[in-house]
Amino acid sequence: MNNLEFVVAAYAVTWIVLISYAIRLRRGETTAEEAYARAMQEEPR
Amino acid sequence: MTDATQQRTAPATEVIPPRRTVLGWAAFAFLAVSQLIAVRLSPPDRDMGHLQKIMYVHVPAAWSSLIAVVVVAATSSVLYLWKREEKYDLLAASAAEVGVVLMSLTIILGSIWGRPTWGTWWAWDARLTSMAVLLLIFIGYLALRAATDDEDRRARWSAAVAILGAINAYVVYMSVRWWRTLHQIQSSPATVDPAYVIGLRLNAIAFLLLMIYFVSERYRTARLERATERALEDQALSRRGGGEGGGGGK
Amino acid sequence: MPDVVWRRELGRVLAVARKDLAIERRSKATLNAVIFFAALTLLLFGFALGADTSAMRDAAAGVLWLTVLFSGVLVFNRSYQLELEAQSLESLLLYPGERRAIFLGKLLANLAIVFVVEVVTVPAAGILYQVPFWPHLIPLIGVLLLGSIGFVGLGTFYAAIASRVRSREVLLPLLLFPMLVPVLIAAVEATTAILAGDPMGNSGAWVRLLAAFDAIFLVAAFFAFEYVIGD
Repeated sequence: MNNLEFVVAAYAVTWIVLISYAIRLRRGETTAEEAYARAMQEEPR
Repeated sequence: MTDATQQRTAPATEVIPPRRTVLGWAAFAFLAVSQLIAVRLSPPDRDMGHLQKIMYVHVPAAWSSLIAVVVVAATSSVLYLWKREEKYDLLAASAAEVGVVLMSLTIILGSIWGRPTWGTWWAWDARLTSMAVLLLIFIGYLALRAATDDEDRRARWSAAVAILGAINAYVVYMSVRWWRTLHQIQSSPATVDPAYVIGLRLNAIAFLLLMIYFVSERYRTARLERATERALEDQALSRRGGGEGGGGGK
Repeated sequence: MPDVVWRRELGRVLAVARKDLAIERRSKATLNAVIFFAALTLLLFGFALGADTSAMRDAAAGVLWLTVLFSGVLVFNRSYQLELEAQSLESLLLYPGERRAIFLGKLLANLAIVFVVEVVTVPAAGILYQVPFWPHLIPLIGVLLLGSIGFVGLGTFYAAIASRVRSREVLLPLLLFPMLVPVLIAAVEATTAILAGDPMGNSGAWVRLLAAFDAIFLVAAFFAFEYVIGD
């Protein structure tokens, strides 16, 4: 039963990294969407 | 009317791929379920206690990162140099970024596994070491892209870097492996025990789904950014043409 | 007539190489600086390894090759800088097949410069680190040749990119060195074996790895150069 802390650490690191990256991707995407929408609104007549 | 000053043949509406929200949730859910199944299924190893369970995250992370980098980024780069379509460049860059994240995770997990196994956080294991080199190659790729402003150059140059880097992936691995066997006995994680295979496969699929989700979201953002840039450029051009005494006084 | 085409290609390659070397010979600025830098690096490694001569002897091959890499990398960017400043690269690109000739020509010129640096560095390392290079001169030259070709080939390639970007001093090593890991490993292992008289006949395998690496990446860089230099 030793080494359990390493297993827990490994799974914790995995989830933290994956979820953080997913959130970061989402935030970047939302920013890009907003900029895109603004640019599309100002289309030249 | 300022139509006459429109130099660029940019499409009126570019098709931006949709958000893959469902894929994201599904991938994460699948990962959670796969991990639960794998952990329940696998008995404690005689020698290492529960340490073997780290393989369910370390190995799939390694596999999906290599697929992202060697398959997606390199293939997309080849396609870009061949067809010169911007979407391939953006796809390659997205896959490279996701690959860098997953490679970093792989190495960290390998180190966590290594600490109780080898007694140190780093033992120059052949696979981890060559992955570290590959990681550096693609960090260089991202650094090059960040340092290049011209889109055409950035696309061509990073495509060449990705392709050469992917070719080198196997050569680096072989060199490091020979180097290691020359100096010390290998001690890589063993993954062949059949009790572990099902769990490993499930988790591998989960990571693959996640990688696909990450790449598609990153790609979508890249497409949005490029489309916005182009729209702003078009507007600036047409504004300038209209401002200079009415569209090109012929 | 393929024979005429070959001669013309070779002529162009040599012309590019000769031009680069002529510029270098006139100024001698880079070559001298690089040689002094190599000597300095050897000294610094010596200090870093401590006064233990057996440690130095064990590390000699590694130190030698690292010195070659760190000094050699200073040579590559410069080979594009001259044209960048004179903006004469565009005029060079007008002829078909010119791009590959540029790559090979610059490769040859850089190789010549790196060889000169090595001719000074290897004996210096032999003296400072007390390793006998003279008795094993022929095999050593072979390893130096094969290792340098891989090094200079990729260096010339990546410098075409890095020299035209900001932060070029750090970008070239960042792009180049990870790619050179197989060269470094194989060259150091082969050199170590050779300097020890190659008791286990290891050096052959490493030399073959070097040759394979050179073949693969010279071809890859040769074809990829097209996409990297055209503007």
